[in-house]
Amino acid sequence: MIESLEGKRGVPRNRPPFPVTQGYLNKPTVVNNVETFALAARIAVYGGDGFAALGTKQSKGTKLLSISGDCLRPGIYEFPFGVSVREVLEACNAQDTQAVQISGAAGTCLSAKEFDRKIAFEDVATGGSVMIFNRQRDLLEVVRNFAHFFVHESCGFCTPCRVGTSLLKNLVEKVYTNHGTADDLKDMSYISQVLKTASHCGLGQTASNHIADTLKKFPEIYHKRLLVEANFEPAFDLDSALEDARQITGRKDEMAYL
Amino acid sequence: MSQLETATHSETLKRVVIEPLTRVEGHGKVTLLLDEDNHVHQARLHIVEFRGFEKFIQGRPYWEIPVLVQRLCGICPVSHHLAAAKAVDMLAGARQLTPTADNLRRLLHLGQILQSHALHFFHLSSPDLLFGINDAVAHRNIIGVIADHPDLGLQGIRLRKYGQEVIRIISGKRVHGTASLPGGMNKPLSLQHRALLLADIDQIITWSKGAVDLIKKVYLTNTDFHQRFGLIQSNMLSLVTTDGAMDLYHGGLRAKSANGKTIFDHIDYCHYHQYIHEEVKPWSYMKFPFIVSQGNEVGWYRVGPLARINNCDYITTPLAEIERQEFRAHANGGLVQASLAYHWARMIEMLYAAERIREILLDPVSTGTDIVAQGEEKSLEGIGVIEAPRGTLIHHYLVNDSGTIEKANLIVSTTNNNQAMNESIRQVAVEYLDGQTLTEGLLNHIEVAVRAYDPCLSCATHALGKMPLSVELVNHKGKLVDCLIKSSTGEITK
Amino acid sequence: MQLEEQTITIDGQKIPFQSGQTIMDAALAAKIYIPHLCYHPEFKPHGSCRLCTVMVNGRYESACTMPSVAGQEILNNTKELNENRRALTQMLFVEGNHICPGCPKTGNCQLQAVAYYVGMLSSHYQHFYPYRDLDPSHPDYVVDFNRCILCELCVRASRDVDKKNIFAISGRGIKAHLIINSPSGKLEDTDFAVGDKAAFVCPVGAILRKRTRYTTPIGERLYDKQSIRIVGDSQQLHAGATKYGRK
Repeated sequence: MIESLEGKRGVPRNRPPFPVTQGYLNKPTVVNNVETFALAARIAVYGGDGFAALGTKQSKGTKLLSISGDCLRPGIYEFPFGVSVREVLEACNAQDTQAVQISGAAGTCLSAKEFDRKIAFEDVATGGSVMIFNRQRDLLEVVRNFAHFFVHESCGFCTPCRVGTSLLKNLVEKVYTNHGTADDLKDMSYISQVLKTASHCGLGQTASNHIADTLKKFPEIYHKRLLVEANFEPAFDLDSALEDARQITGRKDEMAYL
Repeated sequence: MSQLETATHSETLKRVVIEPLTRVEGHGKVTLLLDEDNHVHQARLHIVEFRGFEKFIQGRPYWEIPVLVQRLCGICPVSHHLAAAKAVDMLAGARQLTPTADNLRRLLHLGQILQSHALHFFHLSSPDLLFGINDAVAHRNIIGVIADHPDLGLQGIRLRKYGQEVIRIISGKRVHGTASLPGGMNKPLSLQHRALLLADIDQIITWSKGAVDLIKKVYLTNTDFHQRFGLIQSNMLSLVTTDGAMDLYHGGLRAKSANGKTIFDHIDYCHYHQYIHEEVKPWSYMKFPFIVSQGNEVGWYRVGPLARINNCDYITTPLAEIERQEFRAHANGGLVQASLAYHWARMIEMLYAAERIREILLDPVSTGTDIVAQGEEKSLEGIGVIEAPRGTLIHHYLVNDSGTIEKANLIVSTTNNNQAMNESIRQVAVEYLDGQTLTEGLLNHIEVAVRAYDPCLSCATHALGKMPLSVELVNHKGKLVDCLIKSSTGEITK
Repeated sequence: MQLEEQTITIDGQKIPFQSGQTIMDAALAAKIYIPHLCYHPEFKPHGSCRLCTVMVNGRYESACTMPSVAGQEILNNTKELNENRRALTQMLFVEGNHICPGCPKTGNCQLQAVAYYVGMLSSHYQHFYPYRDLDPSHPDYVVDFNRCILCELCVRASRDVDKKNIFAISGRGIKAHLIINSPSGKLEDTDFAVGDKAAFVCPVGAILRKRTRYTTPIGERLYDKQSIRIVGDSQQLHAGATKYGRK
């Protein structure tokens, strides 16, 4: 953002130095979102005690949650920190929930087993986004959507994010179209880790979370679509490649099926 | 159009496909059309050629081309490298190389000839010639040769190795090195390397002479069979020097007709397209070149060892010249036309290559350090022609002002021999297959005919019997009548 | 002012550094190789290739941008980090069109040398085979965009040293690509010249002098005899270098 303000290409800066010491035009700069400013104003006006009484020991105060997806009452909610995911789901009247994506596409994907986890810095940290997916949803569709999103969002500055997000998207598409193999899942998992450890900024470091999370917590959405489960020799599918030729030549004899 | 190229009522005939036949680095196939009594009405050799290169080098800078196009082939990359290098010399305006660079290029090319000919003869063809076409498949390979004739087999391997050492020393790698620059070479020959090569050259010449004696003995033992097998009458094309000597690196184009008369001579190869045109046929991906003055029906020709030994007036090295004279004496004044005589001619060339390597190594100019000529006049057209192991190879490039390739035309040896190989397999099909039931021996007869011309065709299937091959006989209703399958272990099943 | 001796530790080896040096600067001065492609000691570090990612006190950081701080415990030559580097190198290979056998830079190419160093045997990932052009318009130089790895060294050299601003990056994400700042987009319409810094900094074969190629025989090329770990960058400049702007 600061680069853009200065009229440069919108790529992330190297940190350190952090904006607090050298930001816009190399001057100390405060970069925060609206919620932070609003809460800071409230504390300034009403004092910090009331605010600090809410929440947990490490996460004091409240958090705005922007709830969307498969629930009857989506919208903006304010909860004290420490609220469980289950309480949030009940508050917005979500039924038959399969998964909850906390903190946006780059956040954490929680399965039903984890709904007792708390929204707090010490447990599930969030910027505020909560996306709810019920059991009618095909989670791989969600993954696809996120994978495409990150290809679009990557600024292209650093290698892992620039190339890795596209590699991941292609692999997700490959699995989605029933061409994937167990080796592809291994690659997805490894690329996810490379993005996390080697990317230049937070976007790249988190751009593979949705894949890493779902591979771990919802492996069946991938496995049920694999071409074969094991012992696959990576190659092209000779038989389906021959199908076009069979159609054209009208051959149905035994030797036309290698 | 030759007899058997296209049958008149093909729809009523049975179709036999030999596929993959194995070809230049990949797949080739032979199709035969037979009637109810198994008489052959049509025989065609199909090869998917390397035309892709002409397209994908478009837009590339010309100075990258010699290194790029050598990837056309893993057996004779040096020939492509040098043909392109000669074309690039023209583009850079530096056709006149320094004497040292000229020697080094020739040395590199002779190493190529030596290794390729040794490979072709010993590894790929000698099993057919030594054991017979019907010998057991498991035995009919280089391993069988080493088992039965250990000295001979190892000589073949060492001859090839020597050729590859020459290539490695000049170009840095045995396969796909770098050597030529526009107007010269990138490295002189050191005295140490010269000494290394000289140490073994006399042995190499002796073995090469032994190889000529061997093929001569084999060929003359069953003369009638060897002369008739795949026999066709063709024109011949090759490069010769201004005084008519055989030269594999440079010269003018000479073509002789089947009866030995000269069609054209000492043609500057830069004008090749006035003398040679290419015909496209609907059934093959490979073009069919022909000599313009003879027309496309009878103007096709053969290239390679047979053409070169037939075409030249003499060979500059003494031992090979004696062999050439004996070879030509068998044609009673005409040209030797037997397809299997290719092998004999090939071994004479190998002997020549060995002798020439010694001459060049002993020439003090070869270890000079003046290896790059500076060009002045730039040209937008570059043509390089060379005698590759399997025959005349033409590289032709057009570039634009910024130095990138606009258009390329490559006529490779296999293309030059396209019609001739087709004619030979037709001859073999008529002679050995007509009216017969399919056998593995028949299948191999076809391969032996192709193998006489082009080692790449056979290397994939025959060398160690690794390549699976199936011949199927399908009747005109598309029903499978007969099928032979050669597995990757060389086992034949019905 | 006499600088007091401060040290950091890389893979258990204690090395000194001066204030203002990055981990990369200190490592190079101590002859410790940290794989890198976009780093060049004469330019402001960029941190985009991510090859130099090391573990600093338990966190992943790029060595070329991370300032040395006394007492840092740094892991560099570890199996995990080198595997990451191999994956990153493979990504660079599949992203562009890197045909080493036909490239004039082969044997002198930093990308190729790094690939050897990290033990890359294949590109592994699916190739993108992007359609990229070649700009042969300039009389002396050819720009082959197929081989660009977006290190921006030419961008930095042209902007910061040559003061010509001839190169730039355009496009986002996987579509990011090198462009030439001229009305036609062609190099011939810039004031690019043979002596420019930008003509020498390309670590791969994207910006090459015309015509004179393959002049160094196989066996004598930069990386033929020794690994890039010993030989260093293809520009041969970084031995003993400390911080950008001075040697």
